[in-house]
Amino acid sequence: MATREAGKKMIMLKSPDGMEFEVEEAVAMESQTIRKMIEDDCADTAILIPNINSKILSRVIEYCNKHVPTTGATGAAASDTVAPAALAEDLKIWDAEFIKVNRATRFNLIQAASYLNIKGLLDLTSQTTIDTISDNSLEEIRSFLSTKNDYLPEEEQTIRRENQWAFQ
Amino acid sequence: MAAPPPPALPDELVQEILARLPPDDPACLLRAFLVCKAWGCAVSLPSFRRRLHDLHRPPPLLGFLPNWASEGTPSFIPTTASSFSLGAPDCLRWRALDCRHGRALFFSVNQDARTLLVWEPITGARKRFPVPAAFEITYAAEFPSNRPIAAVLCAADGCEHRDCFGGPFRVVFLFEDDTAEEEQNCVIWACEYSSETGAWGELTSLHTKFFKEVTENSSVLLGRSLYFVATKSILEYDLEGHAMTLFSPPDNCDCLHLNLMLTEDGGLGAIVQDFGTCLELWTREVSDSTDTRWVLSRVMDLRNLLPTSTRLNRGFTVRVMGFIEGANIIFVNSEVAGIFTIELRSEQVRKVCDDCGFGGLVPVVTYTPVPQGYHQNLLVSKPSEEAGGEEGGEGKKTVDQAQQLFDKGSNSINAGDLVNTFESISLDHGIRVPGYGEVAPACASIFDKYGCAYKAQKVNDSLYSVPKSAPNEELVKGTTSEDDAGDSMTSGSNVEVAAPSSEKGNSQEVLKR
Repeated sequence: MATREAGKKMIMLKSPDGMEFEVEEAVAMESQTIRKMIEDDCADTAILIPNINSKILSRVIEYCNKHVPTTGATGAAASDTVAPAALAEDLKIWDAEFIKVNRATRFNLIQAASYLNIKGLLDLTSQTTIDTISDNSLEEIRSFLSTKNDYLPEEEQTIRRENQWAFQ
Repeated sequence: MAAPPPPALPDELVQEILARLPPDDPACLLRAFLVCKAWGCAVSLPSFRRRLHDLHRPPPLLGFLPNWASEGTPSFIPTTASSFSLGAPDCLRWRALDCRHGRALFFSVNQDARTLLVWEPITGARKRFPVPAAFEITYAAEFPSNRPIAAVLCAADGCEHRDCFGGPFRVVFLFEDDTAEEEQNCVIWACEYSSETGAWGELTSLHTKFFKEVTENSSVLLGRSLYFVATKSILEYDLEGHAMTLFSPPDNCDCLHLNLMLTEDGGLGAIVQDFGTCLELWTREVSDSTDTRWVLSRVMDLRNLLPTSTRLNRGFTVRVMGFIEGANIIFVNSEVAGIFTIELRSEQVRKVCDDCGFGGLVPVVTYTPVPQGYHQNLLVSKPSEEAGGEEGGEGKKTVDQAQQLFDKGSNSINAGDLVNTFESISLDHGIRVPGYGEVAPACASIFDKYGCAYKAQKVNDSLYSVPKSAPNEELVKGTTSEDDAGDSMTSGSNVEVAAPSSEKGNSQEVLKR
């Protein structure tokens, strides 16, 4: 951290379990929630991120670090050498590796992405979840969610009867 | 090592995940609905429609409504990947005229009364209202073939149509008075209906020299104007000033083979079809407020696009059937090998129907409807003040009027006068529902009486010939009153559906197929 180029403003993020993360302002601003706090001058010292533990927060920062645009005043020269398509492909591969986590972590990441308003991470986590479950049976999905079928038999029957086309 | 149990996802995150299901495959969402009540609730809420709108624009094409039907024609033809159905109004009794902003507009056919019907595919809601009185006069004259041209649109200013279902709408209705003595004197009349006032506005007119000026080709909405194709010109209807003007089509073509479209940069465009295989795409350029001209922007040769099977026809005639606003897609009827959609930018071609026997069609582009049969219990009703709380004296007056009709209807039930019961209760229903909101308790007793009357009439229908008043086509949210009234008929003997309580009954069903 100390070796970062001069001129880059750093922001301190704190998780509720007491861990502190120093990140570049540009990285933190991948989160629209934090961006708004910074723009509204609510980020003088450290920003406490409620409900997101240090394990999840560190993953979120890892994601933002990777996805922060490298173009800009200082990064333009570096990105000139890499074609945008190759860069996008590289990011896609990185994302696929990043999201290889258990479902509890993934659900926590969805919640964090939603709270912090990080569109790319929300897209990635939600799309991966729907891809995972779309080939599962309803019963498997319920088990995946640790939930139960709480429709009354007659309620379910009504829905099926009125929408037979979906079950053909 | 067992994975830790996942945290329970709040509604908005369930919506976030489920909004990623393919928007053009409604069966996925319906099966997701059945996972548990929390999921069913999440996908039924207006906030879910807003999320779908944010993620998937424009709305997907779910199918189309034939605007001409014979015995056996389905009322709705799906174009989705897996099976799908919509409870569209019966095409033998209702001819589709237009569909825009999640609302479809129909005109009564083969019915005694000439009425219009607006139907929301997403909620299943229907609203029926009479045609303008002036149209009745021209219609009743010697030309019963005089068919109206009409367009429906959302009435809310600045609306993005994310969740405007149930909201106010406008209908622009055009018809011709061709009963004039002189052949060279035809009048086009326009009249506009507002669902907020429940009434037609003033008539406006335009004198022209051709009969059958306005054709049935679909209209397009651009800015504050609606555009219609006329026989030798294009008609612009100004939604603010209610005035009509005519202007020349591209290349002064005869308009018989012309469809209007919106260009990608938001201008008015036209698709002109020659008798060969080419489509000319024209753009109307407005250089200043008065100077306009048509510019040929592109020529598409359909021989290079459509599959070889369409060329079996020696003449290779194809016909453009319409343009989907917002989606930049045209419908093409190959006349021999089915109906295709062509995405104009990518030139991606998709066959959507094997049957070519449709004279015209009205595309239905909307998000997945709320599943039928249960959603009325899950939907959150709108606060009543949104619906009519500010109307003050007027609102009270209509509710009082409704009460009178209700009383009259109740008395008629007692007296066994079923026809009057229907008129009174259904009128009452039409007055009350907009006043109170979707599922206000105040409507409950009306539904009850209405169902009562309907059941009674069903019995009566089988005994006597009673004029059909189409009870299920009054304003009804969600399931129609026919469904409500018919529950007792279906609960006992319907064995088409396997018992759903059995765990094994649905173990093979997956979200996506």
